[in-house]
Amino acid sequence: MRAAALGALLATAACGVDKMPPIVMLRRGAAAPVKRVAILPAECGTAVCKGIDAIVAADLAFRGYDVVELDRLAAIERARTEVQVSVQDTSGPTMTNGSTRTVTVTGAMLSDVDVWTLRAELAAMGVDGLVRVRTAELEGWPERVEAMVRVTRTADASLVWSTLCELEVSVLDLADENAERAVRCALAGGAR
Amino acid sequence: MRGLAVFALALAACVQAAPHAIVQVPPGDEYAAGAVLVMPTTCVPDGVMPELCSPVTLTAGQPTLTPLPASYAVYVDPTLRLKLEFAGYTLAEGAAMRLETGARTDGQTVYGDGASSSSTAVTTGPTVADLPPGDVRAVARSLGLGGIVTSTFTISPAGFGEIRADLVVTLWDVDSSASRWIVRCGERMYGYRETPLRLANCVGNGVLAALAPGNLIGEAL
Repeated sequence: MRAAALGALLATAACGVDKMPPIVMLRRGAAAPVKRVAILPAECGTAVCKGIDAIVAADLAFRGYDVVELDRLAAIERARTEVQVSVQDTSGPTMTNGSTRTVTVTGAMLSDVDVWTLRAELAAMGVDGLVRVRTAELEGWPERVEAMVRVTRTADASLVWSTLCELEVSVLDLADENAERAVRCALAGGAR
Repeated sequence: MRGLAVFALALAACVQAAPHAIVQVPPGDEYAAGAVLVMPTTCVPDGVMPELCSPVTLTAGQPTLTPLPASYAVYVDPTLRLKLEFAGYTLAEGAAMRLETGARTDGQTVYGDGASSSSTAVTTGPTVADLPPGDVRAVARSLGLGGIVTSTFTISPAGFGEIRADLVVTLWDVDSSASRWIVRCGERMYGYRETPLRLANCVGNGVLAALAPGNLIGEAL
């Protein structure tokens, strides 16, 4: 009876344990500040990664950086084809009208170009900084996630600043939510 | 009461000890930072079934909450790269560097009732990660990258029907093709997700401890 009560007490206490506060580390390099930056697309390419890139882009823009979004700028002149189909049906007792409009745009964006073209295009646009956003799960108990935002100079890859946040997370949280929280935490640390 | 203590001890014994990193780093900081090319993690079956290197095949046909990926790189690379960058390296990712410009087609259709649908298709082409080693070095040289980081996840027998996994990460000099540093972690493999994650963290912490100890977070190696 006493053992059961003790077990229940321990279980209840475990539920009430607070998570460790986030660990944030900010590093500033010796390189001069940059003004115009491009966010290198995350390798994973999923909607989550794109969303995280968008969060960082918005934050950097708010801090005064000119953010070049590679997937929104056309690398070449793109071809646009528009097809409008109108249908008039007179076979029934009443006449019905319908239409469908299809727009197709073809051509590469900057995020699709080969590595040498991309480098030349970034130089032509005066991009002097590159931003990399990374998130990672850390296996262990308790589970943790880490996120890092890192800005380097385009010319010599030297560090401008980087900020890292390590968060303790719950196994019940979704991985996507954890990654987003960690990135926001890292950005908040970088604002100091 | 004594039973509870025994139970707690038994539970603690089930938790595998953290792997330790074996680090071979030359003195000096000549290779401690800079821009390097990083290749995706490859898996090598060493005396075990080749299927063990393809996690997705291990659970094929079985109901799973989270399907396993096709490669351990999905688990290893994010952690490893984050730590390498926090150690001071600027990484050019071989698997994300296209050799040819892709063709993109964006489409949108608007129907008469106001409904719409959109689609985007981008052709995939070869990347730097698909090239043979000699060509990879040529690409790295053309981009002014001083080193190439490779990581190999090796699965081998560990006796009594068990297997072990080792993750070896090496920085190679582009010009001489000599290894500049090697970090290795290994443990008995007890999970297709857990072990690669733990080994990536272990190797990353090994790099941090050797090259940027001030940036190391958490437990000792």
